[in-house]
Amino acid sequence: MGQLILACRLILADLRHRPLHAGVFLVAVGAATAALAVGMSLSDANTGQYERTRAATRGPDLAVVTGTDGSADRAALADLARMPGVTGHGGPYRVLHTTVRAGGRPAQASVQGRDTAPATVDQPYVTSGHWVRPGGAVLERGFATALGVRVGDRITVAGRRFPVVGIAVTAATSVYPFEGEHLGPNDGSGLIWLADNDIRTMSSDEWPPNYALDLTLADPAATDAFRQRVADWSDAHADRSVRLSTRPWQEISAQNDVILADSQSTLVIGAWLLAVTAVAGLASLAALRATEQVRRAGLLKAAGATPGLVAAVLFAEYLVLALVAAGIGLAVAWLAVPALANPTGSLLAATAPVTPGTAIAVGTLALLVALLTTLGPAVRVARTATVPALAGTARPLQHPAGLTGLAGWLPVPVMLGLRLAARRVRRAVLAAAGLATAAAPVAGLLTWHFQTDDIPWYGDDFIMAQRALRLGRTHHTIVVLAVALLVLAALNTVVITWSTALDARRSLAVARAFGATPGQVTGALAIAQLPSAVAGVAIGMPVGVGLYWLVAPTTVTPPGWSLLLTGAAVVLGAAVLATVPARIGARRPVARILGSNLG
Amino acid sequence: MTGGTLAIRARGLSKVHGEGQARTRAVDEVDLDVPAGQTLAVTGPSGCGKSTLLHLLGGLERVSAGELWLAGRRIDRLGERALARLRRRAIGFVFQDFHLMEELSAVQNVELPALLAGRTPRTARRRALDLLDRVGLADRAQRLPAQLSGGQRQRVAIARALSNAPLAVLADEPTGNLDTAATNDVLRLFDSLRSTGQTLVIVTHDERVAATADRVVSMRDGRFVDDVHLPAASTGGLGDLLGLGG
Ligand SMILES: Nc1ncnc2c1ncn2[C@@H]1O[C@H](COP(=O)(O)OP(=O)(O)O)[C@@H](O)[C@H]1O
Ligand SMILES: [Mg+2]
Repeated sequence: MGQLILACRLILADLRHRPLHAGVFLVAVGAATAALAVGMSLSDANTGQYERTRAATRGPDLAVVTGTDGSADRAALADLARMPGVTGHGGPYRVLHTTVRAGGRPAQASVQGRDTAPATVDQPYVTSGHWVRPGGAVLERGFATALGVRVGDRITVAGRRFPVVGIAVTAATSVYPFEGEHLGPNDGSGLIWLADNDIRTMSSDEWPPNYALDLTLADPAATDAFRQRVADWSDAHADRSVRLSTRPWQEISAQNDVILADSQSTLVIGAWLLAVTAVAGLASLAALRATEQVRRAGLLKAAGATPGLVAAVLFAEYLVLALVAAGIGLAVAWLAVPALANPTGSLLAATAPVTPGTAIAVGTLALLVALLTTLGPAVRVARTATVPALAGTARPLQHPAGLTGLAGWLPVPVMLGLRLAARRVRRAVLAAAGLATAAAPVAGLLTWHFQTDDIPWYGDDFIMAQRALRLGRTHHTIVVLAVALLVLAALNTVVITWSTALDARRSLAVARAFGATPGQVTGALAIAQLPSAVAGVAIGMPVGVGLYWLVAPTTVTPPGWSLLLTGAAVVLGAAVLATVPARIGARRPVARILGSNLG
Repeated sequence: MTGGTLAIRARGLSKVHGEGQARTRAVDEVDLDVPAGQTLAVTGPSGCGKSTLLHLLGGLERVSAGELWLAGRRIDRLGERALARLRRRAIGFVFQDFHLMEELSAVQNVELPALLAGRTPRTARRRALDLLDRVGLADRAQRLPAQLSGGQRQRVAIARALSNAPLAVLADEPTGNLDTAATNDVLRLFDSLRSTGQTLVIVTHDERVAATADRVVSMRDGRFVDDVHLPAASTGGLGDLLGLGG
């Protein structure tokens, strides 16, 4: 009991006295958990929104459309509606596939003729304005949003002008831009409802309409079996050359997910990259206060705390932070996913409950970060005997002999820099890992850039095709991740250079006492970051391209020169960033450093 | 004498630091008996092994050779965890630079060993407040170390050392960082501890501090070179000493 209280008190006191450390932890790990939670929730949320929309609109279990050659007739559909197992139907409705214009911009659309009274199956849910009336059009919400059209605007359908009287959502088609109902080029199509009479006057013998029928079934889960019966039935009517295309609600729902698919994998991969960056950054941040932490541990040990208890307190502190970070991630996902999972606005909003799978994955990620972050300090504390810990004696430094020998031949900043880099191998590894995770999405963006040249643009100049849309979402996702990772990596570089400057301050002061200029020392500190920066980029760039390829196997690999150039830019950026803390470190007065006993 | 009446008993106690050329015999086959209730001062030049001896006695460092008993219990073979438990209950350390937890208040620092030893928070708090009262800092209980003077910090550290009513208080240069007035406060405190029968080992190179003890051992190169029991009259001279110092 007493020990528990003590542990809580130590944790709280530490958090209170070092809010910056806790804050950086929460931001870094929160970004990782949020990316993971969003990535893992998108699909479920999207499904949930479709289900809500389906419930609100009495969505069909099976949507049927006659073939494009116009030879099938309404009688076949009427027979279908009377088949056993069918519990309700809406339609058949006349459907035309045509070009519409809104504000001078052309777009592909399916235009469906409807009764002014609501149907029994598929009653589009009007989100603004009202339902169709003669001479007035209702636009599907995702389509309307893409066109920038509101109630009261005017659109042109097949040369005729209609006022937009309402905006609605439906579950009978996939989300915009997949609303073509299997007619014409599917991708990039929107959906419009008109009064049936308005469509009849548009269609002609040269331009016959198709027909759409919405069915509800006795067993909505068994759509596949019913679909097979429809296929058999239309084969039996081969003489009437009936050609029906059927879409069960499960397929409509799955198609909704397509836009999000790449973003999901990108987010999940990005989450783990963020976690690596977070660990690297937090470990270097922890190194900044290693001496103090070891002293604290020594003090506890002198008062009778076992090494196990000291490590447990350390771990518990990061565990608390990790759990809060996991909570932040899940909360962000909960708030952001409804909007993100409905990119075109074609579905009714619904919050997705966090699934156990997502919660476990997010918790695991946060826990791993906490474990890895504790590992360094815990090992350091365990390795340091109590007496030197209390004395605050620094760890002995590692000096690879070969490098020291070589160093004599090099210019002063390079020599000093390489020595600094060689002194702290663990820190160099952390810096490399941190930069690798930032280089990966940069390589991803570069790869993306080389994909965009051959995107097929269907028909119209403003509606993007499915691939372009997916690439567009992927691009947004990678940009967001790249920005987050670059910010963290920049922070990391600054912290690492600063801690290098701090614990090399005596040897650098000696170097200056013997004539090294502050400029040379700044150079040395910046150069000290180069080996790990080069290593990080050399690992991170191929990993980034590889991950992109993993998500989209048809990827074109960017040319080598572009990778080299980008890599060099990242390394240069890291070196330039490093000069900021390096300059501050190099300007400290020599005498004061040498006079102090801090080592 | 038998081990039972001794607070501390050491035979052939040795500690070797480093290896090869850097090898130092910091403590070299020391024999030592400290009866319960004695105030022992250990003096000697810097680097003669005083601190190392104190660390060995308190189980802060493992012995290289020799045997060591605390209240009749053999402790030189104990492992790291067992030593930690032992320190909790039987030893109270006082350091030259206080080593208070900067983020904990005075009273929280004082009750830390009691909580470590598994006392209830209520008992630990009551005891800590008593101790702070005893060292004259009852009104500073909620202050952070940074808000206290050096002398006050050392008095908090002494109160912390007493938290679990230890068998022995081991103090390493407790007045090394203090001015004369604060030194006198601390000496007065040690004097009152002695009068309650607290076993006390004080490492110091300050002759004035040594003069307040029952017994002074001098060290050189890891060995005892002198062992003087001071007559009661001499130690009773603390008042005079303070008179001089103040
Ligand atoms: N951790 C250590 N490693 C190596 N040598 C040490 C260590 N601690 C102390 N020494 C050496 O042991 C000797 C005694 O040190 P110490 O006990 O601190 O002396 P004192 O407290 O009397 O000044 C000194 O020569 C010191 O350099
Ligand atoms: Mg000493």
